[in-house]
Amino acid sequence: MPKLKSILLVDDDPTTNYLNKKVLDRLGVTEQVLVALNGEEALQILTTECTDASRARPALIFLDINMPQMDGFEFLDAFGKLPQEQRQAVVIVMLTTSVHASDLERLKSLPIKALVNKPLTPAKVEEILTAHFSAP
Amino acid sequence: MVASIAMSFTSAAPHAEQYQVFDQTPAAVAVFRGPEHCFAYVNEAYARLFPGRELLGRNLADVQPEAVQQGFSALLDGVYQTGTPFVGTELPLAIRQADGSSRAAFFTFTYQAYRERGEIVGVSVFAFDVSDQVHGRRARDLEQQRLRQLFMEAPAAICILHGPNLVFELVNPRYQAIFRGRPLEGRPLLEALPEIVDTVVAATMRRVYESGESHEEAEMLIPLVREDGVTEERYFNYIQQARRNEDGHVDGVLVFAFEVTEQVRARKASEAATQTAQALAAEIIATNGQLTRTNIDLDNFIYTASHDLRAPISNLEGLLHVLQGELPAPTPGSEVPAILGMMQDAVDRFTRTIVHLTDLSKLQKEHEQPASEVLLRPILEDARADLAPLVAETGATIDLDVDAVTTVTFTAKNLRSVAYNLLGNALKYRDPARPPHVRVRARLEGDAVALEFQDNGLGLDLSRERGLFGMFRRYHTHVEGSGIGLYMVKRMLENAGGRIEVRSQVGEGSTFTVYFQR
Repeated sequence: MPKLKSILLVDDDPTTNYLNKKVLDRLGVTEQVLVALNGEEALQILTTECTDASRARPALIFLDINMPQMDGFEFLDAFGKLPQEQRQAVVIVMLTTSVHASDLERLKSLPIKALVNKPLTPAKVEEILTAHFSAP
Repeated sequence: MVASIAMSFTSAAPHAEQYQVFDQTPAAVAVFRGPEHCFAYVNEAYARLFPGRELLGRNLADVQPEAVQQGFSALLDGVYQTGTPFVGTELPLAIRQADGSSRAAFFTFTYQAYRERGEIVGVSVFAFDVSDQVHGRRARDLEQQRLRQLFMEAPAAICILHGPNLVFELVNPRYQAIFRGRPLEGRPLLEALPEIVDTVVAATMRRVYESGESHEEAEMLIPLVREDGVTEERYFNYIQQARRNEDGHVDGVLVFAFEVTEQVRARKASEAATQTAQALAAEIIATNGQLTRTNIDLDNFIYTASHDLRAPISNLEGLLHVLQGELPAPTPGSEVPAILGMMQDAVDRFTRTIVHLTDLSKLQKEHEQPASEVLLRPILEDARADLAPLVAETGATIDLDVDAVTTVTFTAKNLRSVAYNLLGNALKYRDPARPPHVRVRARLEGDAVALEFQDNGLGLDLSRERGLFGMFRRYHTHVEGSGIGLYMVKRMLENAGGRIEVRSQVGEGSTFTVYFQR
């Protein structure tokens, strides 16, 4: 499987981001790992990539739910309102610590491709890549 | 008797001795002579009718003007002229009394002509004063009339049933109204109201007739058929009484009835409502009991879980330190120190959370303690003193403008916690551009005390209602805190019947207002 150009990690906890980056680096599945500490930073990264040649648009986003400023749900809401060309070919995977029934309900109508329980492990990353980035 | 005596009298001439027979008789007897009706004889009874008047030898018209006025004189003329006797029954004569008043009298009498030598020479009067009889009868009639009116207009339903077949003899309008459209009078009870056959009503009616003893019922359910054929359940209070004839034998039954259907229906509805209310109340009490037990279970769980989590985390902390000691000195570019630092951070966060959870469960256990009246200012001053290091570090000023309220009803410990939390937050979430300034104000608002904590810090965007007071919610990540403070504050206040509100402007500051019951 070819390497992805860029993966975006969105989580307010620096340690989580560090660990997740470590997993991705060890698997060697992407050329670039971007980090955002909340939904707002993530949006900025998505919308300004066009002007910045060193930053490729993330093909995969691992999104946390509980974040200050703009949480996971708010990010998805804003993401849905982006112009089509900024949204296409972006796979969003939500990372969660809880599986509250109410949360699951909300998730059904969201533009996410998968829901994964933390922590992010190499096995889980492989599973996602196989499911959404394999050649047909 | 009057006629026969009068007849024997006419055949003889009127001699004084013969009159003696009539002197003492209770009948009023008088003899007129001539066309002018001159009084030739008057017995005592007659004279008594016209007290104070001299009658003998005088003409009728002179001594009894009322007799002329009221037509008696004309009657006498008729008898004198034609010889045909006149019998009057209960004819009225108003007799003027000596004192000027008028007595209404009634007489049953005969006027009889008598002859001498074949010629009519006068008229005899034989009269009975029947005033008492007539008055008595009139009084009785009036009484009957009144009774009947009473009967008809009575607010009760009344009927009289006659004879062994209990035929409706008399039915008052209200009774008839109960059986609107159904003919009753003249018909036997069981024929007119067949639905009563085989019921208690009919049975007791019969018993009353046979025994003569009255029977009373309250709220008797009697199903009756309406005009449209529908059978309705109706309720009556009634009494059945025996009616007796002059011999004292029972010859009928009187029924007095009051319809109480509305009252009974209302009472039943009320009883049903009360039962429903009671059932609901019982349910609520049961549910409350359940909730209380669940809450206790939850609190126990939190306490136990946090307690049991302490040991492993404390171990981890220890192991981390040991590891640091065991590891060789880090080479440049090594990530090991950073990793160890992150591990320590994680352990610290874990520990803090456990502490807060423990505090929370303790708070719930303490909830049962009664609140008392505590002095406001000293407690606020204590809380401020507790924050002295942070105050010094940040150059903060905390003003206590609370003299409007002396005491609040709250536990001293919790009040100190609330103040410490809110003051601490004001300092922690200060705007780096300016020294923090907190103003605490107390005022009375209705039956509550309002305590306001106003700061000039970072402010909050409250439009993003993400549950500021929820557990583990944090709006700002750069400040130490696990986000449980405001949750605790809210719980403390609500447990005591108070509440907390917040107003805020991003970049300007926030105002937290807590309400206590007085």
